[in-house]
Amino acid sequence: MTDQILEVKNLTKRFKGLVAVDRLSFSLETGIIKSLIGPNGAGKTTLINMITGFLSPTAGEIIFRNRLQKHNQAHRIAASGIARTFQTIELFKNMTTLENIMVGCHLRSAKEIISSAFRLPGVKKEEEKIRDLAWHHLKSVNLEKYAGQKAGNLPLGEQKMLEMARAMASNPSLILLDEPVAGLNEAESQRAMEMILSIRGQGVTVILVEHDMKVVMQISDEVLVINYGRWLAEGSPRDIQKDPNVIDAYLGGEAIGACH
Amino acid sequence: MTTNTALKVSSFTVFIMILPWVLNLSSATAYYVDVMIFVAIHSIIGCGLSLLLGYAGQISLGQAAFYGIGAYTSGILTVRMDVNPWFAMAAGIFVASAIATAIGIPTLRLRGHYLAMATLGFGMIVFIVFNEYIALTGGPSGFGNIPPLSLMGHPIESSFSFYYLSWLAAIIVLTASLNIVNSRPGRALRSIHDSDKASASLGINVAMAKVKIFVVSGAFGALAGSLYAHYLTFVNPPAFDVFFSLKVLMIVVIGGIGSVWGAVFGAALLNFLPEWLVFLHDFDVLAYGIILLLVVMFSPQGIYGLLAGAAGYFFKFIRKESDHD
Amino acid sequence: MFDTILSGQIIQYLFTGLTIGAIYALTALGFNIIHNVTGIINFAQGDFVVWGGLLMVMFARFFGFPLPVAFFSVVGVMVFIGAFIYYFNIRPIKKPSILTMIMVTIAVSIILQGVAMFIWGKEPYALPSFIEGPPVYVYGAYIMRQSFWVLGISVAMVLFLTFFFNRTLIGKAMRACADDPGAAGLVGISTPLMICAAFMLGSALGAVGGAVITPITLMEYDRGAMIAIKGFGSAILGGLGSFSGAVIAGFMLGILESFATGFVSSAYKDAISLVLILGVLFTKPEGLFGSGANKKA
Repeated sequence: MTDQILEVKNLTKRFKGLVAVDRLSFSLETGIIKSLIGPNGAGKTTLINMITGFLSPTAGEIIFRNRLQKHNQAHRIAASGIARTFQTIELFKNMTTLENIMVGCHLRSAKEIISSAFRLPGVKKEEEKIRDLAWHHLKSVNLEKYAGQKAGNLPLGEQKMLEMARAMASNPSLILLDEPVAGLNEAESQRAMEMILSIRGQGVTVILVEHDMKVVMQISDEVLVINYGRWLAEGSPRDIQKDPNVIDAYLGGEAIGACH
Repeated sequence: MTTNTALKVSSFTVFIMILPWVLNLSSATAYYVDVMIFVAIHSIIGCGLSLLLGYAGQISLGQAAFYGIGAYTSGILTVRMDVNPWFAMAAGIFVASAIATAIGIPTLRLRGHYLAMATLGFGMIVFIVFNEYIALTGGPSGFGNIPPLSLMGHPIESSFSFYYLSWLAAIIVLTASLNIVNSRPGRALRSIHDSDKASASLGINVAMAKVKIFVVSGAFGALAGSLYAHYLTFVNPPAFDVFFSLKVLMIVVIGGIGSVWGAVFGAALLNFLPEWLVFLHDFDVLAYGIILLLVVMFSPQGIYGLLAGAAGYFFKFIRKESDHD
Repeated sequence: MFDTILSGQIIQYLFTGLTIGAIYALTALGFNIIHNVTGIINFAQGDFVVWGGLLMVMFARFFGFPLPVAFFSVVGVMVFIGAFIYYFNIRPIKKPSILTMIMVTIAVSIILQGVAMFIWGKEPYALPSFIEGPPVYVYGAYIMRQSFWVLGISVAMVLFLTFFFNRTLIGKAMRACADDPGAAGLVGISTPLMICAAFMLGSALGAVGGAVITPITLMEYDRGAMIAIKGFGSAILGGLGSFSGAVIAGFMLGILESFATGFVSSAYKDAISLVLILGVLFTKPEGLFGSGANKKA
């Protein structure tokens, strides 16, 4: 049996009568890129929000690294090693690019208010460590030249890269990317794809939600298709492209390979 | 602390140290030293709200409660139980922190208007207790004979000596606040201000971070209140009413919400303004209201923002890129 | 024998509570009207009540206007002040965040308070009842005649608002703006005009409350904050945005306070209702009746 990082069993989320995710089960192998696709409103973001603790499931189980997720507080889930980005970019707009990543290092540091206020021993060292780590992550996405600029002033493409770098700074073992190339031009998409591949290269497992089928088919190891919150198909990109159920779900049989 | 911040704090400290000697050259000395003591005390409580409001983005309209808790704890312990004033001060800070924790946990789950009203209500309840729990607080007439703080047997009574004590406290608080802002917990707070979703996704316990900074603001408020009580040697409720809470808000907002330095500027303005506007008598309230309105409408970064903007224009090269204070 | 005294007392407290509660209800309605159209909680709402009372004293006692003239002059002045506040303080705000709007309305509140102190000084003012005469004896309780005015006018205001928002063109337009400002704009409703109307109506409503309650409670310049928080509390208890909820909650809070004064302690009556308000904010911010428009924020 392969090494599984995440297992989702019969996961269900209901909002006032509307079923957003319906008895969904799948598992995720360590170290791969698994894409999550489906028509608009299929429940992809709801699923991500449940796995990252922003929403609590109505029913079902999420097992991460062989441990059942009981608490649904996002910050605790983050501490267990799951990072994410957001569909609507959620940068700290009024903080500098470097500071954004420094916040990303929150879980890798520990100093609290009182020791920080009075610069008790160890604070300086930890601050230096955070700064070094942040620079390292900043360089990994080539954003050094923006280090001192407010994150809100960066171009869209750089903002998406920064958000990924910030999530990576928390040293996760699983990262969920919610539409990382949406709105990007060709060159920017290319950079984002390289970044995603390099994340996998560092041994971090990736769940990718993306509408751009070209990107999905190009970089995914596996694809999971959901529709109306239900499991529709799962397999390699090539299999998925040929799956009649999937083709059917995407608007009357238009081949998904040709979407872009 | 970055070198730039350290430079600012040390030049400010030198300025404060020599100020009384400069004032000594003129005749109105004693009086202005007195005003400066209140600037120090109000800077301390202002720094607390600045951290909460300016950095964490959480409003409090009840800071007077912590000021009062500090003052009354100091007063009651020293007068009725003969406790050493320094211990009484520490006790005041402890009591205020405990109350801030208890009230902060449910309160800071609220947002926006709800948070503003809840803190306003909390301040009013504490004010009613000061007025009505006569056995403990002396009721509306308050009580006096609070002993001064003393250092190695010497009471710190004169305006001159208290000036240095209060400013020592204020500069420690200011430095501590700047340190918080520029380190891990401070960055966490600022991140919450921009996006609490993203903060949580990076492992920050958003609810706890807000409560912690609320407790810090309460502790600063109590320290200020305790200094106030030992300086005036007398406390009564009107000093801790809703209007004082609003005054603390004005200090922070008028001074400049984007920096803890703003609290110091705001405290100076709100204490010197009535001196310059003596002809207005009690109507300085009106002046405060108008200034607050103008600042919020036309200069949301306050006086500090205006000054920093102007200074930044001239000394662009001095400001370090990542120095946030 | 004892029973009749007790029941007389209860009726007494009930009436006092209803009278005070009517003011909370009117204040809560003022909060709701402005909130529904603009999303702003107007911290100056309590000062509108204070101004209503003090202007009524000025017009009726010092200028010697006949009561109805004085009353409508108060309403007229406050409608003007409401419009003034909107055009000069609310409208120019470029980035209206919640925090900014809280601070602007607090500043307006401080200014209203300062001007009131400038005009009227710090002392409380009395005003004779609208109709002079001894208290009315009802089932063992003596009810002040002014209480009937307070209740009557409050009921009239509620009926007027119901009519206004359901039957008049401008009232319907205001509701449309509250529901969907974008769509309202598309059908030619001017949102700024509607917000202005909300401020005019909100301040007039507060002023009516102040004008009718002053003969019972007196009025002074710095009463605004306490009235505001009780009115806001009522709006929250009733579910922010809900008119009927606000009225019921206002009366409930008034009655609670009156009974607290009678049976617990008059010194802590305000503290008791504040604790109740905080309790509801902490545990059930959507209101006691559970169908408020907003849950949090």
